[in-house]
Amino acid sequence: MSTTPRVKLLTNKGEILIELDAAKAPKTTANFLTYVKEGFYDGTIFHRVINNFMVQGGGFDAGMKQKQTHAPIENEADNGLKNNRYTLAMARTADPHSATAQFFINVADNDFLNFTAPTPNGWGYAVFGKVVEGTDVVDAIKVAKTGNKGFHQDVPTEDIVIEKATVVE
Amino acid sequence: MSNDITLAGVVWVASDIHLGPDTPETARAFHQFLDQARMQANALILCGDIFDAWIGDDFALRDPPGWLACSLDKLKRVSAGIPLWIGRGNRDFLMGERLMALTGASLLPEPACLHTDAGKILLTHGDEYCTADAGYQRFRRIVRRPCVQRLFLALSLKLRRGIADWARRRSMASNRYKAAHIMDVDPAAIEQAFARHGARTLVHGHTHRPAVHSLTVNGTACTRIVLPDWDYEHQPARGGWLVIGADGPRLVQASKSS
Repeated sequence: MSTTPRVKLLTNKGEILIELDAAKAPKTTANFLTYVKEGFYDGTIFHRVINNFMVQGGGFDAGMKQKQTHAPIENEADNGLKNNRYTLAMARTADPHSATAQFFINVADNDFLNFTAPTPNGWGYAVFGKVVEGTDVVDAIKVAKTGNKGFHQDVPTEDIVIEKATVVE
Repeated sequence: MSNDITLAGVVWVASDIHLGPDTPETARAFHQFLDQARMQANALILCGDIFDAWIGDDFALRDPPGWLACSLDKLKRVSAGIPLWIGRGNRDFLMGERLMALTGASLLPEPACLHTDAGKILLTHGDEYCTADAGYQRFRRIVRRPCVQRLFLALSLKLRRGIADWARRRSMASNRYKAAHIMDVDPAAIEQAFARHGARTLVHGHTHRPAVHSLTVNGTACTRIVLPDWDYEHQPARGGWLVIGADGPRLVQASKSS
């Protein structure tokens, strides 16, 4: 397998081409590719969109129903990759090693999300790729109008859907 | 009331914590922040929207719910150690002298003109600069009138809560259709503020767009610092504050409370 596999996210706002870093984030990359190949992301939405911060998706379908995932993975945030603008990182719960399918694209240099120490507070968020084409699409998504839906805040009022995610050979 | 406040040493400034009954993680992070401020800062300023809603000081004084009681207690502990200022935001503009007395805080003047080790800094919540939002500015003018506030505070808590919920739902519904630039500060209003107060640094919250902006006003280099909002209920979480010391203001953002 290539150490820099590419994944195309076809969204209803346009195409985003992502390059993954299998050398620095092997487990996270393999995990993401598993979900892509299964078609897990097809029909999921960007459900948390915060301009100047990040856009998060890959876990909910258009009805804001959370999808069943595989087991959580180990946090690879100590790999030296930084949460800079247009990088791709894994979302998780407060537990550092709880990432499953949800990911986010940083839309600012979010230094405070980087690994600082192997402690619950210092683990940070594992970066495993970056947007190489379609940053304009990311820019269009980040300014989407948002509101509250149930327990969720910052949900786009109009669905931003990943129609299809495919591995680019 | 004079708008000038002279502060020596390290000053911490935060805003837009939006505490409420459904924000336990944000409250936890905020309480840790208050403990940290008490140890590390020489003064703390909270400039607006500390609470997601405020329907009158009597609500806090008379049998406050657990989450609020805990926050009030933490604020008291801060003011026992260092000077504490609390400013009004667009959500908690009904905070008044009774709350200040209870927490040992001083009410922050609007705008506040801070004389710090990093020079003169103008500080406000920031909603007054969103002048493109005519509907909101009209609402603001009305609810800031003392007679309107007296009338509202004379109502029962239940009625006040009902009106507050209604106002919030209306605001959320109308914000849905407002363009992003209308919800942000107006460049002309910012330039006027710099010019009127002769400050080179302006700090505000409200817009939830944390950043450090460099701009030129009448040929002078100025800095506008936007404070982050807090949300620790969702991951990645975010929040933060401004540290003002002799080496200038520095924005601290945190995904985890330390």
